[in-house]
Amino acid sequence: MSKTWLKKWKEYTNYMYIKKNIQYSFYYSQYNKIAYSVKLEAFPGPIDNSSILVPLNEFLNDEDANNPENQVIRHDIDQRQEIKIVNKQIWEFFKDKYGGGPEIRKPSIEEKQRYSNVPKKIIELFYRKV
Amino acid sequence: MKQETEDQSQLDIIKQEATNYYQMAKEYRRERYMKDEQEVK
Repeated sequence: MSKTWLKKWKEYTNYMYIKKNIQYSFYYSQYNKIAYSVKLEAFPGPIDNSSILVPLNEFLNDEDANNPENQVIRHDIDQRQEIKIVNKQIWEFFKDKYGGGPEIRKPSIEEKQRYSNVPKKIIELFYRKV
Repeated sequence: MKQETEDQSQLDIIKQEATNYYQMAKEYRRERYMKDEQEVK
């Protein structure tokens, strides 16, 4: 999903406060002394993932925005800054409350690791037709 | 007084929403990177 949207949501909910409070409350009690506040004016509105996708009119496709094969991630964006990989649970959590879209679905594979019995999950962001 | 109660209620809802996301994101990172719960912040 769009990290730009998620950043707006984090600003709106004062997410850093929540995060710090959960992580450090036992060690740094001053976090509990600051009152929690939100920025209502920073309400993020519907999720907008269109900014991280190549527009459908720029390549050959069947014009179905929900078809994963048509959800081509732009190569000219900074992945770390603009893309947040989330699972279905997190996506639906935001989608149910804020709406918007489109939902971007990407395949994943599990890769066996040399030093662990637990496989590593790899998500294929960039679809390649071979 | 009523307005204050409504504001506080809205604040609680947003706070809970952010807390829920924190827990889900933590769980997802643990699942994705296969780390022990203690390692994931």
